[in-house]
Amino acid sequence: MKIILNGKSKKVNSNQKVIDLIGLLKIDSKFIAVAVNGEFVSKKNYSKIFLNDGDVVEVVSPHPGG
Amino acid sequence: MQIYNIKLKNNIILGSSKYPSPNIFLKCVKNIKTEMITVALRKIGDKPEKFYKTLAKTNCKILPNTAGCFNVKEAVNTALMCRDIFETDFIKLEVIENEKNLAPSVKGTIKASETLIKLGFKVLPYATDDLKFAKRLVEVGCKVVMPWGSPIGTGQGLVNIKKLKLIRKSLPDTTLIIDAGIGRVSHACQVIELGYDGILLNSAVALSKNPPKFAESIYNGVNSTIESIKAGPISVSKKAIASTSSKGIPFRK
Repeated sequence: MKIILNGKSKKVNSNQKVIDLIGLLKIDSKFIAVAVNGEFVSKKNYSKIFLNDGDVVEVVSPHPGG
Repeated sequence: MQIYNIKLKNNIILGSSKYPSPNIFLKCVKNIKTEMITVALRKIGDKPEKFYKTLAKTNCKILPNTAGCFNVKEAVNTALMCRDIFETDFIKLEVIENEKNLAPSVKGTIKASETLIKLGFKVLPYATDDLKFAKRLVEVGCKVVMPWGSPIGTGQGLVNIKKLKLIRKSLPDTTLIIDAGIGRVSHACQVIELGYDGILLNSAVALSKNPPKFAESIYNGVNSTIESIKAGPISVSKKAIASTSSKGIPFRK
């Protein structure tokens, strides 16, 4: 299936959870936060939320800001 | 200054953007003696942990922002993501309405403040110099309000002093911080002279020719102003009053 990850189309296996996507990206979840279809997903829910075809996923990290 | 349940010794909150390098940013943090730094969230790049580690070196409290949000839903979800990473309830709330002058949305900022406070956030909303707007933010539970001096990044200073004075007078128990528009040391001093609690600035320091030197100058200016207020300045008079005695002037009877 295809998801939109940070604005770009990405192929992922079906039945993937948010935690699987984080693993795929090889990033430490400490430094990131996630939203699926515009809704925040807390770290404790990464292993509970399944991704669906067409989901829009945002993965963000700290960035300089004013 | 009082920021909800914490008291900062320093009156300056520093933004972390636009510095020539991470090292220069860290020097500015040291020179301006800030205890609180604003940060943002953006889509992950190659090394998401890099900036996080720079922040850890500052030993400052983190004030995440919702910069770039144009509606309540975006702002609330961004705030939730900030809390998930930084493990802080503090949020610098920005809900922008006008892309050209980056003015905040009155309705959006009030609604998002209300929602976030119910979710346990300590909201520091970016506002204009409009008294009604500031009052509504206090009514929905904001203990801190941050009116602009002038639009973000313009360095114009305090363009509407009368309106800012009115907010200070009308909200004596609210922590008031000028967020945006500071360009010079004199602007920061003016903020303190108006009786405001603090200043939030970024571009003025980061984009100056010598950011560490400018940061030091801001700190010195703000603290000299605080000390001078403690020393009790003279009252303003409409009439000229000669400094030198009028007795014994030569060539006079």
